[in-house]
Amino acid sequence: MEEFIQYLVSVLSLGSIYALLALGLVVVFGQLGFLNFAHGDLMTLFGYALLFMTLWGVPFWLAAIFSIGFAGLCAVAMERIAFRPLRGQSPMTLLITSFAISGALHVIFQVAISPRSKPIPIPEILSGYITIGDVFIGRAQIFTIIVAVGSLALLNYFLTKSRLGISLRASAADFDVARVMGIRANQVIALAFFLSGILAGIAALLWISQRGAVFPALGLTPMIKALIAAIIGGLSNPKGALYGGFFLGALEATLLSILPDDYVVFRDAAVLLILVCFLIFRPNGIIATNPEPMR
Amino acid sequence: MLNVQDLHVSYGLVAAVKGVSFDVSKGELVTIIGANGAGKSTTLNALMGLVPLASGAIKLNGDSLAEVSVENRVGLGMGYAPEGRRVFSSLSVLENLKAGGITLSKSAMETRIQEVMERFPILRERRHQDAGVLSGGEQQMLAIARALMVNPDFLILDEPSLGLAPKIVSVVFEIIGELKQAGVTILLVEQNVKKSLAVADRAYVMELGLIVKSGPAAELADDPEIQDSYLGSME
Repeated sequence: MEEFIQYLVSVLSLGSIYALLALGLVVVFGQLGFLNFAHGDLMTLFGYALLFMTLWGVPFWLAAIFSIGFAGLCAVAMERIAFRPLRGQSPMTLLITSFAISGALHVIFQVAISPRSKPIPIPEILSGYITIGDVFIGRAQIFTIIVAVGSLALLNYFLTKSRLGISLRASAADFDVARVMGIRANQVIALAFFLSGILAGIAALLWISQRGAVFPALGLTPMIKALIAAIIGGLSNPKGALYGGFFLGALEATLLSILPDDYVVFRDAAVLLILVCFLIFRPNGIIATNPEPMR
Repeated sequence: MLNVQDLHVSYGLVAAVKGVSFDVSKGELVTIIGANGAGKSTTLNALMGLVPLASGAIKLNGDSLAEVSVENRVGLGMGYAPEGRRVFSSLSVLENLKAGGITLSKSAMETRIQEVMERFPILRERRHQDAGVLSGGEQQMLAIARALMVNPDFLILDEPSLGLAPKIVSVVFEIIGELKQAGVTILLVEQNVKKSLAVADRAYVMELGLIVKSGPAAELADDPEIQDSYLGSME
């Protein structure tokens, strides 16, 4: 029973971070039909913003909130500077542009800040464990689950109840028809990027709170995981990102618990093998509606 | 109400519409008929600003639409139900209607949703279902209802009967007739020549990007050439 609870906590904490990140990718994919490879760098930008603000004496939680907003604004700036001038180009052009942005940001982080890892002081409340009976659960993991589930619930409310959320989903379903209805293209695309930045910022807070450091390539690993989650779940629907995120979380936690210690190194290979299976047998993902890339 | 002069639209080097001129007066139901590939839908896409004009002019109530963005055309009283229905399939029926009325105030949107649902009771029954799971006929009603959310003065319907069972086609044409009776100006593009000529005041016949015939719908319905080309094989 204890092992099962610990397993469940691992699935939820890993899965919720992946789901947040995959959602960030999917909201942009829904509008522009490409995967923004620079999404992971928004996490790194959050990390450095948090680092500098805490160094300047801003309290951690306040700095975290500002840094999440900063990541959102960076995503909007990214769209305005790099992607908007390419509006109407093929998704492949936008994808390559996102690689270029990511590469440029890496170099800027390395040259302007440091190629080395910089520690970020994590508040006491997020370190250590709590015990429930015989079960030890990391505080950072509990924090991750609470924040991620809360964020996902808020996002769901926003997407289904607000005018902007409905505009965003309508525009993702059929961009041209949404425009005919009076939904403004520039507004929804900027909103999609802002949301993706906010989601990357929240995911980065959770990621960093379990690791306590920031470095130029911080966003690369979670970005790749998000990519896998988004492809497994399906790129056409935010629900797909959720399913993909939790599926990947469950897969990793399961492999970690069933693989003998000597074989744990093959965990990522096993995940990639399953991704390949999805690409062959269910290329549109768990939520298999046909995506309609456009513009 | 609508005046189109010498409209040319090209896709790359291919000219899809080659100098089309027509007009629609207030309260009229005008239909553009023609075979697949005649350029009918491209003409409508040009009216909505979804494809750029190579040349020509489109005026609504005397004002040029050249500088009006796609998003602002709805504000001029234009409603559009596109070919293939193109409902927002991952959104519920209610959310589709909200998207259709996105430019309205909150209270106006609520009122309009009730009015539209009264006209299309099936949509009230299905309001919480995803639009993607509706039948073809229900999706078409939703596409028309969505376009009606802004209470348009000028409604553009692109192939509303396409892919529907004959019984449902009759229902859709009944709805179009009712809308006409209610005073909505309608531009209808259809391949179902018989039914569209029966409901329309005037008609234009398009072939290979050109208007080759025009006149009162009743006259065209009796035109032997039209009967040979379209009415013999189409019901």
